[in-house]
Amino acid sequence: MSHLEGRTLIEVRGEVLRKLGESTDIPTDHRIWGEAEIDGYLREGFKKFAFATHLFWDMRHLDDLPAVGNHVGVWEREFFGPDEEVLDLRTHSNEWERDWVGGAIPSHCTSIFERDNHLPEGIDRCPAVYEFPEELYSLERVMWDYRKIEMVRSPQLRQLDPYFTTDRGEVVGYMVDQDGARRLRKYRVPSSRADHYESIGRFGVVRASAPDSDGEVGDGTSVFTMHIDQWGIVVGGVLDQAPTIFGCFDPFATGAGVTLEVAELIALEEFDECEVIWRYGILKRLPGYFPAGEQMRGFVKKVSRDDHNTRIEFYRRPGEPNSQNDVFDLPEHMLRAIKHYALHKAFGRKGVGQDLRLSAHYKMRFQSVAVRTKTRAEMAQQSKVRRMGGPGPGPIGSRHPNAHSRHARLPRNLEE
Amino acid sequence: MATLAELESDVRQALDESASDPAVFTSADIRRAINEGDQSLSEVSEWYRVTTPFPLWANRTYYDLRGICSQPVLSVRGIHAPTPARWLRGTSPRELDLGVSGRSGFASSLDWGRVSGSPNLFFMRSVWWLGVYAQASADGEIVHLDHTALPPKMREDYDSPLYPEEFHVGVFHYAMYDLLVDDKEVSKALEHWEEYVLIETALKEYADAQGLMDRVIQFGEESPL
Repeated sequence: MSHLEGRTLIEVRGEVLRKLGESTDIPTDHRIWGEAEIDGYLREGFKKFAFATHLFWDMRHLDDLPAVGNHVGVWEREFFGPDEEVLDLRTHSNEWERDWVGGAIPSHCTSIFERDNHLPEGIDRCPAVYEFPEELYSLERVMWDYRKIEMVRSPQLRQLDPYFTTDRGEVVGYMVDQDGARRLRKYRVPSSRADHYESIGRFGVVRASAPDSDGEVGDGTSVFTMHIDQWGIVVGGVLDQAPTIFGCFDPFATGAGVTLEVAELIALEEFDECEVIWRYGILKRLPGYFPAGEQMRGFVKKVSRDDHNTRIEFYRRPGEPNSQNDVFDLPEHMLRAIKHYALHKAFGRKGVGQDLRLSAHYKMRFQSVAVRTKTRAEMAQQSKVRRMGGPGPGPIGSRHPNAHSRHARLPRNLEE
Repeated sequence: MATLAELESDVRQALDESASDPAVFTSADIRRAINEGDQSLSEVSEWYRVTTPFPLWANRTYYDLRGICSQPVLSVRGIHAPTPARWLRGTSPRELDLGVSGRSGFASSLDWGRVSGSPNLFFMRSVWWLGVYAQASADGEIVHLDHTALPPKMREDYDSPLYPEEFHVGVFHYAMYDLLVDDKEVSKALEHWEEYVLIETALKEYADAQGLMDRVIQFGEESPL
């Protein structure tokens, strides 16, 4: 099996149960450890391993764009239909309302087309406060217009710039201690919109049907629709030669003997010279873009631009396998550590089947793989920061405890 | 040199298991345990060092090592580019943000994320994401990634672990440990585990010691070499 093929939850669970001596011949109600219990241990071990090793690094754009909100309560999200997008939470649309709505983030319109067409008047205002992605647990770097920006403490900024909540301009810093947990505030408030791509059509993969000239969905032809600026999957193709866009643009008949290329990439100047190749498949790469949100590795999911835009780099929780055929996105040697964690918990559980010696042994095995993985990641990122003057001796006498004593002297081998 | 078939035979004999009519462990079980032992030894010691070519793409900073290498990458040791011939130097995002690149002597721009040209530095984000500075200006330059990895699994009877024969017994002990745990012989299993750990430590020391220069004690000034 290729190391790139994830192992499913049912496969890994089966291996753990086999190790525990729970064969499938044993009736379920006679088993010591249940499937659900082992699944829980595996998920728990997966998360612990990811947290301990900072394994899943990702990036996301907190776009300098007017917020588009289409729901007013988090509870509404589960009622969205499969063809509806969950956009930002909308609790107020003007700054004066903030006095009545505590700690909320404004939104300025309810649909993407309004933002893209600069409606209503004054829509070009961008919010300063953003919620972190749910899967983020450790923020590493924040960038604006390709440059790293520094974190600023709100007490300091209150003294330096009392109007920091309303001052507009280029984003030169950020705060995480001003607006509550898991929120980032840009300083300053972005004064202009970031470049972005207009979106067309719906998001998703349409493989076997296509809209005709009246917009009705027909049969038999693949359609290229690209929904940019939100999560999307493009029906695409295969890279044939560089520079190209992976794209599948199958024509469909609109009339007798007339075919049209369905797809267009809107407002993508940098792709003007790229060659679109007619193939089948899924869009896998756009030149220069990072495949953020790697739960579906191999798909272009969200395309944002870095020009005059804010990007965060962070470590995220892993995508947990929930259903039987979900996979653990780990190579085999790390997945073995997850299985050891499950064995550690299973053997450590009180009651029938407890074996504390094996529980301790498997805990040691889990920890040793986690430590080695973390060490490898840290070693690759270790770097000394050079200082002016180099790591030489300090000012004369400073190494002696009585630095200001008239008796302080340099060590003999440093004297000229 | 112990082949897969020989290792399987040794394990089967130690378990008093028949080849033709196994009572507990099949050939597949034993071979799985042997391969797991081989992979475990290799993961700890990082003895398996290979070079993998991959293309650089225009305007791209980050490369996913999981898609580049056929075997799981453990750690990156270096990157060689042919035109012009050079080794990319290791750095970190922190150094790049500060506008210096430490050991390499190259200075980077503060907006290093959009600089394109001839890559001369590399860095890692977590274990899988390899970053280069500068971004390649055109598609297709093939560079060579020097890294440690897990070796391919043994599949044929004649396959053998690729490290020296003196360490093959570690695979035997691991297989015994793994199978005896399945058989609920915990004490015996942990004895084999202890033996395995000794071999694992020795192989790691062997792999780490490769390339160490001999020190000659001299009288007088230390040689500039």
